[in-house]
Order: sequence, then structure tokens, then C-alpha cells
Amino acid sequence: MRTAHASIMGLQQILFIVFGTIALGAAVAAVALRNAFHSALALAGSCLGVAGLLVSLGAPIVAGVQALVFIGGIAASIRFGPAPLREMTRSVHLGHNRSWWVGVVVAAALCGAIVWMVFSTDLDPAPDAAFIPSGSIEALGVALVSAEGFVLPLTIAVLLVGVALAGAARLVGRR
Amino acid sequence: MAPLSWVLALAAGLFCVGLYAVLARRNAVTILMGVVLMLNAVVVNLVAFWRYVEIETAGGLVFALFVVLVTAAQVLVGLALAVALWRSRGTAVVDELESLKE
Repeated sequence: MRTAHASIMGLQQILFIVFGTIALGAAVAAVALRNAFHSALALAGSCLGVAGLLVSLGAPIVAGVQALVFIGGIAASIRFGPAPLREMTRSVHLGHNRSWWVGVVVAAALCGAIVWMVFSTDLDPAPDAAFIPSGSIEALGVALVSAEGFVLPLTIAVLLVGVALAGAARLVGRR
Repeated sequence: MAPLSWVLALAAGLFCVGLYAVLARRNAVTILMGVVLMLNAVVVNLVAFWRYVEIETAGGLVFALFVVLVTAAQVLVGLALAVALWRSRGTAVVDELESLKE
């Protein structure tokens, strides 16, 4: 029993390392590549890694939405979207601005500070690996549509996305 | 399962890679991608805290879904603005957009 439990923990940690490496490596590639089209492809890979991480954390619904929105939406719009967007992403080869080192210093300092705080804080131990959050999808559905839950914020968020979609279509369609 | 500190450190790395893109890149589309990376890190943090601290309620998942939706809206408008700039000015370099300084 203990051996099976240990193997589950080992597998989950290996999955975390694999998906985390994909997410972080593709993110670095998305930032470092000069061509915006190649950056978009790398961003899709990073979003795929993040979706795998979310699945390994027990949130497949959020992972599915993430994959649909970012990989299916953003990457596909850059690949198959309006002609000016495709032209812009394919033709623009821009590097970093003159003060790129400020970005390196700020990002490295912030990352170091956060990692230091995280590892110097006594966080709760990892939950039992065999415990799968059963009913989380059902609980999420109930929370999203019940009056005591988040139905009003959900409505506002959907309206926001709809208005943004209409505004974006108006901007892109205007000559 | 990986410890919470590992997940938080990974999210910090993702956030800072995105922050570097926002601070140092010149292309408007790549800057938008940096913002997407930063919001991805936020989603990972929300789901991690839900999983490790507050798994009995669905609040963390709901907030993560809202962040994904708001990110989608923000990227839609940002890409449309970039296309409008490309059409009107023929450039996607944010350093050259200085009309507000005049």
C-alpha cells in the first residue's frame, strides 16, 4: 500500500516537472524569439504546458477552458485570423528595446524575491496524493449558476467578453 | 503530488518571464503575449491555492475561470488595437507611438 502510494506521488511529481518544464521553456522561447509568429506558436506550447499542470492539480475544467481560449483562440487567430494580423505577425522581426537590461534586472529580482519568500515560509504539506477532489466539477457548476453563488459575476464576465468581441470585430473591420 | 512551494515557484517564473516581455519587447503583439503569460501564472496560483488550501469550495476554480475570460477579452481588444495601428501607421513598434506626448 505504501509502495503504491509512493509510486503515485512519484508519478505526479514527474508529471509536474514535465509540464512545468514545457510551460516555462516555451514561455522563455515566446519571449526570446524575434518573429511574432514563432512567438505565438511558442505561447501556444506554454499554454499547453499550463493546461497539463492544471489537470495534474485536479482542475480539468479550467484546463479545458484554458486550452480552448488560448490555444484554440489566440494561436488560431494569429495563424488563421484577419489578413493584417497575419501579415503583421509574419513580417515583423523586432528584438528588445534599448533598456532590455532593466527588464532582466526587475524580472530576476522579483522572481528571486518571490521564490525566497515561498521557500522561507512554512507552507502546509502537500495534500494526500490519493485524494482526488471528487465532485469538484459538480460543485463548480452549482457555484456558477446558483443565486447564492457566482451567477451575477458570471453574467457580467460573459457580457464583458461579448462586448470585447464586438468591439474587436468593429476595430478590425473598420477601413 | 508536488509541494505547494514548487507550484508557486513555477508560477513566479512564468510571471517574471511575462514581465520581462512587457518591459523589454518592442512588438505590441509580443507584449500582449507577455501579459497572457503573467495571467497564466495567476491562474496557476489560484488553482494551486484552491487545491492545497480550500478544496471544499469551488471559489478558487470560479476565480480562475473569470481570470481566463477576462484575459480573453483583454487579448481580443489588444490584438484588434494592434491591427488598427498596423493599418493606420504601418508599424507595431510601441516605441514609435508617441502621439500622446505631443
